[in-house]
Amino acid sequence: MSSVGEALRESAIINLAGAVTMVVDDSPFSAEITTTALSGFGIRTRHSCRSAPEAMAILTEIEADLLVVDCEMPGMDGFELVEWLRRSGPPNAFVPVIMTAAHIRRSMVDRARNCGANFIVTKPFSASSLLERIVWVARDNRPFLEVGDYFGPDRRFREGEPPGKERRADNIRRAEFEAQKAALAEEAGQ
Amino acid sequence: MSVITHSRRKSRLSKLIDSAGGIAVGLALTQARENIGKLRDKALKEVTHHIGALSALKQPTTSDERDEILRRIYQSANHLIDAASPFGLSEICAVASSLCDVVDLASEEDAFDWRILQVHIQSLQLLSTLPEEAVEERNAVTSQLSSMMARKFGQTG
Repeated sequence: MSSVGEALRESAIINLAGAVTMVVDDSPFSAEITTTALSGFGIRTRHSCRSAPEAMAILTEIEADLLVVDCEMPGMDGFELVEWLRRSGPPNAFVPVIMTAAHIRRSMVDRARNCGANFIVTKPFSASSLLERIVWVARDNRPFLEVGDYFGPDRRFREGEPPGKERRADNIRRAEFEAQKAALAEEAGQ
Repeated sequence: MSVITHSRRKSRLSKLIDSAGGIAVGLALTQARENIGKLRDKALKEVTHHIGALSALKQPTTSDERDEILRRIYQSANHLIDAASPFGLSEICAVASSLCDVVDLASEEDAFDWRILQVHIQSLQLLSTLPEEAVEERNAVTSQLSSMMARKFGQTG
């Protein structure tokens, strides 16, 4: 999985054409910007909703592959929508969710962390940051946790290697294999 | 507290992204940027519309009115950032973001200094009329606003 903030390789091939995608944003123009960017990535937005209740009605009937949800909406906001989604059971409880925010109120920081979204993208909006996050959530293999009121991806990110000597068998085998390969290549070169 | 762990099944998105066909990331980004670029004129109209909406707000006389006005200011400032940020209108975004901070602070306090909103609106109006080449003037608007915010709240705007 690419790590957070890692730039995408320009030559990498992605295929998102078949992804059933929903954009939820109360601002029609902001939704248009998002769907326009998605269309550049080869994603046709199947459902563009102006409110959380509208999205909920559709999500009870379809199986989605990706949701892009604005945090700040009048009435039921994006956080509440994601909280509902995670508790909604099959087929959409585990669907990757990217939230977008122009500004997050100080009182909302905890809600942003606790709502169960895979990622929150704060604006300024850019095509590259959105695509990076889509690829990232597609490869996000964190388990889902239920802890108290929280239901969502494990929020503990592990960056870098664990301290001390490597003890994971697959990594040890891979290192041995790479060392053998390097030794053979060196022999062949001599 | 008990923790229930659901081992992650591969999402359909993770299977789709690596399926046959598709496009290179470089091409996807170029296409997306071109698509967004076509919306620039519309974005500028949105910016003008939301600055107009902020200018039209009247000072509230009751606490209910105050809450509603603050909600509308926050919403308009959010929409300004939505419209301006994809097109590099960073000064407009900075002022709108500062306005969001003011509303955020105001919702925790009883008093709201209406003059601060007026200064933000005037800054937005000025920025929307200044040409892109007027870098010094644009910087002066944001830095003066920033100084005012620092004096008022002890933070940069």
